[in-house]
Amino acid sequence: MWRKDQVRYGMVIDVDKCTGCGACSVACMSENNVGVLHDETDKIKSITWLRVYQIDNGKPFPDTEVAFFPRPCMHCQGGESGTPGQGFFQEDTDPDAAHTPCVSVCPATATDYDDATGIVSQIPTRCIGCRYCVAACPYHARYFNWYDVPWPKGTPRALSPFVSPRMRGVVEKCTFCYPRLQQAKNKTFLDGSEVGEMDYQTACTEACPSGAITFGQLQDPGHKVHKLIKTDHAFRMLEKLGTNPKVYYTSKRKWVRMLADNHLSQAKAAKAAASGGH
Amino acid sequence: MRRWLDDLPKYADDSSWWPTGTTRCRPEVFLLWLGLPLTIMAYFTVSALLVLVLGLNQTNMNDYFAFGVWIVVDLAVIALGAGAFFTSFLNYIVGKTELKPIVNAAVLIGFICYTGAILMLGIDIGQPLRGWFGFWHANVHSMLTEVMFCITTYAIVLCIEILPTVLDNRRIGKVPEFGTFSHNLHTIMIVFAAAGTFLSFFHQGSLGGMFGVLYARPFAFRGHLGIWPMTFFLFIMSAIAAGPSFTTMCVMITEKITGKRLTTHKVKMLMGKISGWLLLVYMVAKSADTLYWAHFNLPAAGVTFDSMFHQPYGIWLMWLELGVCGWLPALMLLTPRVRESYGLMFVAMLLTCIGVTLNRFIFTIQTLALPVLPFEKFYAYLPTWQEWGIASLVLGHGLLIFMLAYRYLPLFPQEPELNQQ
Amino acid sequence: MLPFAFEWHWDIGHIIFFGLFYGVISVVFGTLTLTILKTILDLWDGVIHSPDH
Repeated sequence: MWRKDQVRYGMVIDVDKCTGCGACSVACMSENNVGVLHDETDKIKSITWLRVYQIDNGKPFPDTEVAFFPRPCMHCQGGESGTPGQGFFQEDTDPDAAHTPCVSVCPATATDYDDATGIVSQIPTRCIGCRYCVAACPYHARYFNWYDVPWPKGTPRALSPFVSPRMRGVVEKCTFCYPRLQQAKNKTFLDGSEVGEMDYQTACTEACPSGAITFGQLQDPGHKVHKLIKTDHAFRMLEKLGTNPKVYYTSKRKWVRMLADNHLSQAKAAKAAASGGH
Repeated sequence: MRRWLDDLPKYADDSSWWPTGTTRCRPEVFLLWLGLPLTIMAYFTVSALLVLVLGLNQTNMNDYFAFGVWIVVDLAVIALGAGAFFTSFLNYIVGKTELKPIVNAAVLIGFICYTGAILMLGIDIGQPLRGWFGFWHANVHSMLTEVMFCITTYAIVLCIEILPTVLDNRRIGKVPEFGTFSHNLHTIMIVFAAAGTFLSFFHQGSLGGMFGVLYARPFAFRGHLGIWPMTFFLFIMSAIAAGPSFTTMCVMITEKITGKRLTTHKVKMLMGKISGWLLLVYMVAKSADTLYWAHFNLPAAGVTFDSMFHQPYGIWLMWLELGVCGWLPALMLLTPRVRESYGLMFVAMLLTCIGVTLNRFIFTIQTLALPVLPFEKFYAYLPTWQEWGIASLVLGHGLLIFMLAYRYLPLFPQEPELNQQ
Repeated sequence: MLPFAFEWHWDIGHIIFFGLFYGVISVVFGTLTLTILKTILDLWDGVIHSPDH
């Protein structure tokens, strides 16, 4: 079923462990040279590759419960997928029948689905800034550079040399820290081994103090993520749309799982509540 | 100096350039009129410079509203400019020569709409200098790629189609080379009309497909046959229904401003009838599409019809689009008594054009306004003055080109005959 | 756009898309060239047209 040279990297985020501290976001910004703008309070024009959403169960005190959804790029594959818990991550066996929402729409081939890793790449120097991909992504994982980053004097020297900073007018997003995979491959090339689970970990995974983020190969039985996505509490965001994402979440709380997708019963209940509880 | 001033009216006399058998306003009055488009163009220039120099942060677009008023105006003028290809198609290919008196104006309006749209798109993209990447590194699976290729190629076809009208200017046409070239272009125009029809069919359809394929956006997405052929043909049909209406409206407005009769009412009535029938077919298909979407596509994504409408983009927008600016003008244009009345036909055509503009607005703005993640916030969007400035380009350069063309080019072959003293 | 660009694949999508595109481009510019040639030949033969006639 799987070609040996094809792997599928994915992430599992334990919502019940996430404290919403934001260390993952900070690590991500630092790793990937995401700049700080003059006005970072304008969240719909600023850039956060890994955004942490705060959600609650909508109930009044003292029944209020809060949870956090860290949201990187989902690295969607699209097409027919296996259900979470059914086994490992599956994708459509016909690559022509499946397409990532953002990759298929880009006119300039500035974003691509890598068949070897399942990672959705972004080539900022190729991007023309039409923002069609931003419109196509339901997770708001894609960010447009509305401003030039005002790097304070001296700070460019502290940037990571492995990730090129982006210019105004292009789209960027989480790449699962792809340069780290390249570095891992370089290392294994030299000592003749294969890229192991711990050779390639994203910055957010390493930074999470509560160990809520797990990263690895979804279809490799030796990796932790492979076991985690089989559990009963694993789910993905907006499962119904058929985006077939490679970022999974787990939570034992039902209301959290319910909030990850749109449900007709939920919508009807909200409507009934709005019209006076009929 | 005094003598030069006294001779000024003689120098400014451009009557030898006017189309044969017509009269135009005095040069100083014309210059005054030109002030209007030039003012709009100045507003555009300031806005464009700000956006190009300082970046797209000059707009109110953001990561939620990736597209704004520019895309709405682009889609709307491309739909309204469809009169060019469809009138050419009917005139040159189907052989409906009754439309000949209006085909020049239709092509000119198409030219204005397409050049305006392309200029605006050049400012809309974040890296205008990389615009050619869309051609060079083309992703053939993207609807936008097809739109880029087709509108650029069609703009070239429109330039060729407009060329004979320019060369037929009374003075230019007297140059043997130009006159003969224009004559030869006229005889072969069917090839360009066919190429234009082919290109327009594709990109009008792809513009519809552009939204239909967004499968992670339940408001825009249509499944299976709903994408192809449905979204493609819905956009094509709404464009060819509104195009003839828009062309005729522009002619009517020109008639009211100049106080001259430019085409017979019969020609306008024929355009109205064509619009009416196409709009009726479109409305039947669009209503069926809306019903299918509400009953099958939306529940599959786990959302309800009601959840698709939030103020200010409430359900009233849909009723306005489909009812007041859809079924109503279709039925009006199909009523002979409405078409016979100058005023009523104008109203019906105006409603048709508003309807197609609303459709493009809803597909662009409402699709993006609706949060797909259940815990996301709902945002509304209002353009900045810079965005309006750039959006008004089509109006400014359109007025400028149309005024110059009306004064100097034989746009309306029936004009001399209809305005004999 | 050209087979030299690295994202070019010799698949059905590229063949149809660019086949149609280059087809239309050839027809449009071919016809334009022919019209210009015919005009040159007409003028050579002394056949002159003007819009008023």
